Amino acid sequence: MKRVKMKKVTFLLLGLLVAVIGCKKCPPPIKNEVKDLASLTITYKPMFDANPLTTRAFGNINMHNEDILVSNWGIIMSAVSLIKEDNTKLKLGDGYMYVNLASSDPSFTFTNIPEGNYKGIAYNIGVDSLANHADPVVWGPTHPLNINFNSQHWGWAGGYIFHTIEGKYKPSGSTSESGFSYHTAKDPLLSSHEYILDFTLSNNAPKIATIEADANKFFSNELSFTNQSTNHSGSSEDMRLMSLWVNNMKQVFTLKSVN
Amino acid sequence: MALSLSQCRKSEPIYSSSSVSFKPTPIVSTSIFPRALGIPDLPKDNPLTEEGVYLGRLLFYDKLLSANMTISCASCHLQKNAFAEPKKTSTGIFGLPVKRNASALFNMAYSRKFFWDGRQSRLANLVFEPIQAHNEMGLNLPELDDRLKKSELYQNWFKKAFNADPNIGQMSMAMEQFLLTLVSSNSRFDKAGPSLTGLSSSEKAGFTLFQTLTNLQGGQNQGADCFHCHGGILFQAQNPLAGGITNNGLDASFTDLGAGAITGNSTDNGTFKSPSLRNISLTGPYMHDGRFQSLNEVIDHYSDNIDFSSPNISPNLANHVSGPGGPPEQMRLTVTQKQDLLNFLQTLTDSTFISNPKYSNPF
Ligand code: HEC
Ligand code: HEC
Repeated sequence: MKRVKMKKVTFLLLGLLVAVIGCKKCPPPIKNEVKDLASLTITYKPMFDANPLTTRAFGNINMHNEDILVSNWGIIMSAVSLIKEDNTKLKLGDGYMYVNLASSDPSFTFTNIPEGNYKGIAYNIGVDSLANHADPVVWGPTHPLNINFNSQHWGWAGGYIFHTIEGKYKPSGSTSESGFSYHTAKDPLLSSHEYILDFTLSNNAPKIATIEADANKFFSNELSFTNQSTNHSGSSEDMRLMSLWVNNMKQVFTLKSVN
Repeated sequence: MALSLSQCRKSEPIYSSSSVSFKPTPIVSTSIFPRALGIPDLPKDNPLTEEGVYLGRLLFYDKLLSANMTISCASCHLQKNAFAEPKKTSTGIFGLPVKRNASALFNMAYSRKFFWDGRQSRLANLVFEPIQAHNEMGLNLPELDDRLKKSELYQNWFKKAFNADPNIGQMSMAMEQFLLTLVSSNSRFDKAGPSLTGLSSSEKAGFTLFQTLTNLQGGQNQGADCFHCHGGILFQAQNPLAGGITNNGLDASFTDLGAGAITGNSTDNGTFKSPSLRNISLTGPYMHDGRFQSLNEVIDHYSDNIDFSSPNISPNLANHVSGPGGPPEQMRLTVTQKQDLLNFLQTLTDSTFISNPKYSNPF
């Protein structure tokens, strides 16, 4: 009994000490924590040039005169963060997000974000090497990294598909339809993205950040589905072309507004 | 009726006592769901209990659930066939035809899309479909409620499972519980592990084919490219957009619109759920309409007979081209490759699943 009491007293004292020291740097104590938390939905608008991307019909024509129908456009993101005014980053939730731009609702909501002014949004497309090679069975049923939920885990080959885009296309001047399937995977193809735009989050006004995704910006002289319709980040030539594709992602995604 | 129902049941759980006090025994999720399959997507409002599962099992095997008491769920879902049915398409009450092939039932705790067209997302809702369908069990719900309430067996088990009188709401919850416990992950392939220890060289070659991309650009193609839609530990893509519900080139025009009839989108016409390939050698005939009797016919389809004019064919089949911008072509597996693929598919059979006494007829 005595021992327990002693321990309690020591802890109390220690706690007090820590509290006193800690408070020197702290802002005044938070009175109502719930009041200071905001929510932010990140939503994607799939586009093709100035027009909405059609996911159920052809009619998206790129620089190679290929007519494209996108039926699956899934992205796993990590280290999803807000850029604070002091340029440090605030990770949202556990930092993971999955959206599918071919779905009816390509958006993801984070809650419990501290109120304040922010300078932008940052994330990686893909997961870091550690998460990519860790035991994948630990994630909850609807977590972005769950092995079954979004079908972006490679299975026995291990690792995640960071970015997948699939659909059909008609080569220039042709009416015959072929499939395309681009799977970005493997550690070197992790890419980081930052979108700078000032916004303020407050608890009484959930906000929506709209990121436009212009699929037409993936293409370049070397990148066409006629040239390569399937790329699963396999051979060294695949990896070379896929890293061009990943570079183009920077132009594909633009943060348009937060309101 | 009451008499037939209160017959001695082989496999009543030992924890059941004659008293009807309310002490359901919770089931620890890890005791049923193996780690390797990932964390299951269990409904939060229907915790699994031994009593709930047993009640669900009684209901699954009980012909009381059909209008003329001739058919149970188990009439079309046979344990020896991994709860599929060895018939092209099913026959329901009064010999009435059902248009589709009966699905195998296992690993549903990892899924949110049920039926060939993915139209149901919750098992507790799904069970009302076959019960009420005029060509399956043909029973209306008030009559079912009445039958359950009059049954001593169900009075007893509803008390144990839910501390309630029999009612159709909790009936569906109990059935959901039983269905969720049907887990299969003990095939030779699973035992072999990632190093494929103990598999023959042909089976290993079949696995390589299964998960290698088709490449028709010079030389013999070395990939059958099955993993896109049947990949992962469940051997089934879960995400509908990523091969979970798609078209595998069976027909140029559709008599059964599949998911298109549910969504109303013409781009979903002729798309169906990609079934799990676990236990596949037990679940024939194959495809939504049971058109293929054997796995050899299925393999021939993918190798030589894909109909690329099928309007909504998956990009992951339509990308099999032999040159830049070319039209899609058959993958043309060799006789040996076909045999290897078949041998591999047969390693996915889980014989403990079909003999597990926890899933068998309790009557
Ligand atoms: C007359 C035969 C028949 C009976 C009786 C029957 N089913 Fe089925 N079951 C089928 C058929 C056929 C399908 C596929 C139907 C479809 O996709 O439209 C199916 C599909 C299912 C599925 C979907 C599985 C999946 O993964 O997609 C479940 C679950 C199911 N049945 C459970 C039951 C239950 C529970 C009962 C009893 C209440 C039952 N069935 C009675 C024939 C039957
Ligand atoms: C593009 C996606 C896709 C690919 C690739 C694919 N399948 Fe399928 N598979 C499906 C779909 C969808 C169905 C159901 C089709 C239907 O019933 O209309 C199916 C059905 C099957 C069935 C019947 C299952 C049952 O329970 O009736 C088998 C067996 C099968 N596939 C094996 C294979 C094999 C072997 C390969 C590789 C050679 C393969 N599949 C490649 C999508 C695919």
